[in-house]
Amino acid sequence: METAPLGAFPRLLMVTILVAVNLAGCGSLYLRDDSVKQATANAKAELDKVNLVAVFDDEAAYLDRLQQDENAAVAESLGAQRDRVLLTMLQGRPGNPDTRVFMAARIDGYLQAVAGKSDRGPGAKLWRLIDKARGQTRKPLADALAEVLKSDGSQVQGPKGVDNPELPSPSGNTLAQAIADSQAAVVQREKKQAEAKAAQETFQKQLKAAADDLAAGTARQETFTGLLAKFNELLKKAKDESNPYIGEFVSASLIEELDGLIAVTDPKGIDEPADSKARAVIGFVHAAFGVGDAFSDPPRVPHPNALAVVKAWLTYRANLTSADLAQAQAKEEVVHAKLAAVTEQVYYLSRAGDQLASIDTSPALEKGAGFARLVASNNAATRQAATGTLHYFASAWTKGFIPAQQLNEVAVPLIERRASLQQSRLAGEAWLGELKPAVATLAAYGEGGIDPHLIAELLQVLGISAIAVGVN
Amino acid sequence: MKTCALIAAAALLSACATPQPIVDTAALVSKMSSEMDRTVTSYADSLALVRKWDAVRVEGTRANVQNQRRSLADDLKILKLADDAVIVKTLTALTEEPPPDPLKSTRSAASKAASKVSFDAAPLKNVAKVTAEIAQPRTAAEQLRSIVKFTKDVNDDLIKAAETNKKKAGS
Repeated sequence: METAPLGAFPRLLMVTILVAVNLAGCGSLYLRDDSVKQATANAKAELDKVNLVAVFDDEAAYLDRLQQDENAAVAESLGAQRDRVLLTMLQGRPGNPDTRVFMAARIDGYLQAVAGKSDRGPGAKLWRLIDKARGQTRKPLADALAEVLKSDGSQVQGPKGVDNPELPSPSGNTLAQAIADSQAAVVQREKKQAEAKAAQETFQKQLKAAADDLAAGTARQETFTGLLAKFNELLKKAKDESNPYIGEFVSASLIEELDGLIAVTDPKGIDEPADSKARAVIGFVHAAFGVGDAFSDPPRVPHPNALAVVKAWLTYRANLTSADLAQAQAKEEVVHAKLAAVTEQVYYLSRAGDQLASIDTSPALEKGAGFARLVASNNAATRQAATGTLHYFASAWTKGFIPAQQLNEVAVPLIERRASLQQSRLAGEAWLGELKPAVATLAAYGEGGIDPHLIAELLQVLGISAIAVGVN
Repeated sequence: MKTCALIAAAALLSACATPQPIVDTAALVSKMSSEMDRTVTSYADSLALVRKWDAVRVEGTRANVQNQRRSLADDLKILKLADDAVIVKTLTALTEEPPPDPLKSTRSAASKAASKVSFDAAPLKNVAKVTAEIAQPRTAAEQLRSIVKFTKDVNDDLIKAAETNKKKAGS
């Protein structure tokens, strides 16, 4: 291959740069460099390989598995306690009085602790009242229970100083408390939703006013810095007052505006963002990020890569508030599930007490004899009542005490861990969302610049090729 | 002529220097990538540590349960040997129903099994390294090499074009 002699090279250099300068208009002149192109392309390719999703998906799957394992462990633990008590009931306790007395004391003790009263003996049965409340399917269970118990004069109370160390229910997990917590959770949610709705309306009004002012030519830059301040103030309020609905509703307003933002990122619409809503978004984006200008004529739309960063930020804010909301909803769900579990405890203990009362007391059981004698009795009514007592007593554990313990020991801590995981996931996505446009900018720079082949073609067209080849 | 050459050389040198906004962007990307790499790696490590604690806690609960179950199983075995069928049958029937899931709606049992938590930090490290290099100001020698390479590419193209033209003219 022939090459140009050294003498021709400086001349070629000069001509090359003069042509290049003319091409670039001296504005953003730079020569394409293959090594830079390769480096920036590598950076983009490497960033595409970053797989954060795998870490977070794996942890989410792990937490699901942990929940199953821990629930099973709690069920096994309380199940073992339940089985021990049942075995004692069946076998009896040598030297002790009639096992029916022991069972009655246990039912009374549990009911006193959980419902504040025992319903054995005359009067309304708690299980019947619970059935009545559950029949009112249009009302929340807490409201129906409170109403039914109040109307019957059987209003449940807190524990009455019962000293029962074997009670499986954790302290404070009473029916009265569970009803109050469940009702309070609903009231709190509705109050926060109403506050959030009002905040959303205020924000939307300001956004619309800014758009109208802009269309009428009366808006100023302060209009949008004020709007941004309002947005940040509402998000702070959402955080300070633990009201995720404010964040959710305000973000919903911004997401609506995001459509306008997407419209201006569309290359077809970039030149003419005549729509006042789209211009208002540019005003907001300028106030928040210092890119674009809604006041110039025509409006200066931010570079698509800058808009991509803005979108990543807005999406992050919106997703973060959704995560806060999901956490609040999960907490509320646990409160209602606790009420359901405590209600089951009271229901089945009440039924067990009712069945126990119907067991024929004569002949009396010999001293220390257990329920096994009653279960094997020739008297069908006694047999059924004894079996019923044991069944309902066991169900109070299986359907009431065990789920309550699972909620306290497993579900509640996992809500925090899942919320923390979700926040980390969103932060990671936002981080990548901001890096990608920046790396895309670098890649575009690497691919751009003045191409040596283009210069060669131009030189040929201009008839300057002789500089290089005329000497051959 | 000399002045013209100087202007051309200065313009070329500036054309080969990386523009400041690109340097700034590359520096920022490099810094953010490094921070992200450190943060995510440390996050994945902390998850692995918490999993160890979880395993210890769950194992502890299981060990306690096994102790409770062992004595219960002994009692039941004795009852079986003593042919006390009523107690064994009744207790089995009373306890066979599993407890309900207190939060039925939250999780699906179909979630895929978790593996060992790990994060491949290599791509982020590469991004940080490559962009840090882009952010470095180019030396005069590098710029000169770049100019020479660029001009050589132009020259090669011109030579190729000339050879093609010659062949065409010959035929």
